[in-house]
Amino acid sequence: MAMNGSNKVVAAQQNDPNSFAASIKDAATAAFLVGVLGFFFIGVRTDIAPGGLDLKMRWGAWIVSILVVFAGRLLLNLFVFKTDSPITRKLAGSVPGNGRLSEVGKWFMRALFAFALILPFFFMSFFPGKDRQFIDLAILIMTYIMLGWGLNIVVGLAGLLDLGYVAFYAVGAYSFALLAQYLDIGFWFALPLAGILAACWGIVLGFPVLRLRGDYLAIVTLAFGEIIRVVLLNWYEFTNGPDGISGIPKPTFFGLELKRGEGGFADFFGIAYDPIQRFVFLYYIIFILALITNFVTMRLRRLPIGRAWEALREDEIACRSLGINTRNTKLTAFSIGAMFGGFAGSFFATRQGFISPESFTFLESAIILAIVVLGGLGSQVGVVIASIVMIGGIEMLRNLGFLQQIFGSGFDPVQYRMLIFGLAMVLIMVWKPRGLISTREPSVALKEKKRIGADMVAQGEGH
Amino acid sequence: MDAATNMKNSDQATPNWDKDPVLSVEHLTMRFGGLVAVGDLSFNVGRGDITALIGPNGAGKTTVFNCVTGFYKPTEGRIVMRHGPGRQQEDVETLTDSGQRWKATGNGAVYLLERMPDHEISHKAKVARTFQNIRLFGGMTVLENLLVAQHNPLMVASGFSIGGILGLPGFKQAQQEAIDKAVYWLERTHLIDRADDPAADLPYGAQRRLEIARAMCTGPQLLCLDEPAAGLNPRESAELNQLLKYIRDEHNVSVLLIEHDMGVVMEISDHVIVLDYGVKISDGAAEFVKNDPKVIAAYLGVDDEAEIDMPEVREDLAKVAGDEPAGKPSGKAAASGKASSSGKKKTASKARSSSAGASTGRAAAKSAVTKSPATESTAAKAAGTKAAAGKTGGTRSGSSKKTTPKASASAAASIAAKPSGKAVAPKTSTSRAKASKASTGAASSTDKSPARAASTGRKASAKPAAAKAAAKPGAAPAASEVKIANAGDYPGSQPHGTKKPRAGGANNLTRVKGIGPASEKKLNALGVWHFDQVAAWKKAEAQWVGSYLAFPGRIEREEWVKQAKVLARGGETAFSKRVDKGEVATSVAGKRGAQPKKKSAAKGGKA
Repeated sequence: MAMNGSNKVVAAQQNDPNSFAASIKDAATAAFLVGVLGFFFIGVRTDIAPGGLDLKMRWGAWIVSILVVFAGRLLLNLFVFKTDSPITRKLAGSVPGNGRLSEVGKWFMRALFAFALILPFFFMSFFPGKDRQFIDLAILIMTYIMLGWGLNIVVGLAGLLDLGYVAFYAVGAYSFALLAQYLDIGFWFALPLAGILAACWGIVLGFPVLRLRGDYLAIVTLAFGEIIRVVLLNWYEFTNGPDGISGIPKPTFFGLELKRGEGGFADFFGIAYDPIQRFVFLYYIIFILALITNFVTMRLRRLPIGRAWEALREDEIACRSLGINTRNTKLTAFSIGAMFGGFAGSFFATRQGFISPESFTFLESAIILAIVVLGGLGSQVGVVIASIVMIGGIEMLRNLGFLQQIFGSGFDPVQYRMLIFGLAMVLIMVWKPRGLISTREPSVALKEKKRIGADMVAQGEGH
Repeated sequence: MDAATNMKNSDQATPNWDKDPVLSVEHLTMRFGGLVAVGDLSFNVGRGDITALIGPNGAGKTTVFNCVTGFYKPTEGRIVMRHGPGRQQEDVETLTDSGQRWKATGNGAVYLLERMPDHEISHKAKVARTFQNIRLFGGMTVLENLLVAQHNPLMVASGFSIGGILGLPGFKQAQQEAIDKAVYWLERTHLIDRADDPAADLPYGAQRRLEIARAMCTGPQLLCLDEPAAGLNPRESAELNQLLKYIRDEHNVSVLLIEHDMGVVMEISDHVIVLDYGVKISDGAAEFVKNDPKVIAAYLGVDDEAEIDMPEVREDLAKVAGDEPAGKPSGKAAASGKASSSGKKKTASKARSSSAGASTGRAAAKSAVTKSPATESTAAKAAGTKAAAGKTGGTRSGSSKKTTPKASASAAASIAAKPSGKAVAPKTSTSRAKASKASTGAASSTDKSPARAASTGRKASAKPAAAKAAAKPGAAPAASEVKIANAGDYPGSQPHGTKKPRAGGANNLTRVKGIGPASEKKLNALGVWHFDQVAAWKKAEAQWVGSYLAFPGRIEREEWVKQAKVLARGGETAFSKRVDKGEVATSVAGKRGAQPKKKSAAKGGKA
């Protein structure tokens, strides 16, 4: 008989799962469970009393928790779980979807671009005390955006997982540093050379990994990144080994150094010297470099080579059957990606004024790759957002002094930032497994451009 | 030139595929380790023809495709693609000798596909292909798929991306033209409404069409389609037929397709090539192939119980059986008719490569050992004939290691010597010398020949059965009472046969798994009536019979001899029990003839 009864209940629920009665019943079950469990955890409290422990009943807290669970469960049942039109669907709709993203995204991008354009002056006028710190952070973020865009060509477009991207960053940085040290070459002349050298190294890496697929490709690129670092570390006579190279020249503004005194930038234009001028200048250099990276990448995507990269990511065998030389196509992806890494490295060297192999560890590769993956493979805007979130986020977590007021003065939020950051990453990847911007925009359209969902886009090798 | 088709059509004009082949596959062999997926396959694909490559599963069709399109490098053989009319034979030979991949000629160009990497085959030689399991760029739109197919011209137009990045003019116009071309093919394939949808979103049939459209966008001269009708419903199949005919008629593109759907094949094909176990078993117009008993036997698997147990095959079989005298072996008349028709065909295919994959060297050695001096002289003569034939009948020459000079021996010769020496030597003359050396060795020496055979590969040996056939009965130990005119065409040696079954009648050979009524008739025609006769076959005999029945290698695989030994002793196999219960549609239930009782399997039929 009992079985009969339960069967009937099940049947009733199946007949009308949205019914109010079913919701009440479900909520009551949840409340009952809370009542049973909570009796010990909430309802009873032990206090230290003379001669031992004293049990103290907290009926109020127990009943409140039961009611909260009942009400909460009931509301969830009525509006989310047991209804045909859950409100979460409306929420999901408000998150930019395939169609709406283009509109929302476009304005967002424009706003972001406008802000990036005036960023130094924004901070100088609104945060005069902290402007140097903020602009420095913006430069860092911009460097990672550029690196992310460069790696996006290899990983996002061509679908070749590269765990050693930092090697090209190092090649760029050391190219400039060594050229400056040995040949006394300035930043602007060294910049293209660093890019070319990095591109050559991209080809050097590209050749052995051409035949590799999947995990093997990833491991070989990882090894390559480490080889470069170890060579830089151990070739003491040439690279100065772990001591690094210091005194790397600063960039000049059409021959004008940004320095105090005679012949400097400020002197030439007759304005007062301010150390912030150098930061602003550096910011605009990396901003323009990043813009060039983006421009070239976007152009390439619409050119046959870009489509071939994406086709390669989708299906290499089909590419070969269509007459695409996959070897050359992969090598161009590696070398162009490496070239932008080289530019960024060269900039890094001039900004720091000092470089050592310590700056080019595997962790850097991992962060750059995480930016690309978090942003969404192949998405340019995704890389920007992910860079801001990751690089800016880690820095921002340093400023969590207010948490000390909550957790007490012994709490140091800086120590927890990597933990918080890791959790945030996990949450984002659970929420958006294919990255923040997971849709792909077609490179060409006959009538209208419809964004393509991530479930259809292949991820390429090694993912 | 393919002699089978040539002879077959000798009374008519030379067929288009021999006159004006766009693609010639010559002596193609593809080995994967020990497995010979394709063995010495030669065929032509006519310009402007729709050519179908058919055969049972695992016959090596897709392997041939992969060799043609460069995805596999063939172990041996030459694959010639021709732009421009005619055979351009001199240019092909010069090119083969030159070591180049391709060569512009007076009226087009010739390409050696086995030397080219896959992407060049599509780009330069203009051979496009589709895949058995559809390979689209799923995350890209339909239009993008078609633009990727036009990669090479667009790359040139974009100045190899440099001009494109700088925004130089020219690329925009080229891209517009590429889009126009894509739109054209989208309209032809009824996909224009889905141009901006991702390819993975299309239904199955549309994906198949898109793959064809994408292949056509590369501007091919030869379109290779791997099972284009697989998974299509009848209406879609009919549309596909229309599309392929359109491609052939309006764009002058030759089509080579692998297909299992016989409706599609028979309706649109100008030329059908049938493969079985990596060997060509028939080649000709659709009508001819349809009525070729070997195709019916091998392709529909008349004798293969495993295939026949499938209902749809049984249905096909019923249709086929309607055309043929069915049922029991009706004595000598039917049997000899069969034999003679089959013999004629074999004569026709004189210069065809030997179909069996295994070495014949052993048989050669054996026959040489057992030969009397008189026989030896005959054999030497045979070798001489062979050598001469080799000199006169060489159809091609070249320095390529992969080529196999072949000679067409005269069909009339009862000494059916066939010099199919395999050229491992770089020069034709050398290889010819080698071939004749090999055959001489077979005739006069007892141990040289196998060594030669081993060193030169599969086929560098003479046909021992030739000498055998020429020898007087009795000189060789188990000469058959039944004469097969072209016995020497098959590798191995003809098994002993008697003109009539022993007293008590013939055994029911269909109780051997693998032997159906058709094969039983043929075996009877060879004088094989009893299990003990089959049981006495050695490797050479099994090979010969396998080749004769156009089932090379199958006898060994299905262990006919082992089964026959059991049955000859009066035992039962699992299969024979099923036959006796009447469960096997292709075998005749019931024991016939004197059932052997504990008779030892003696060599030859002791009639």
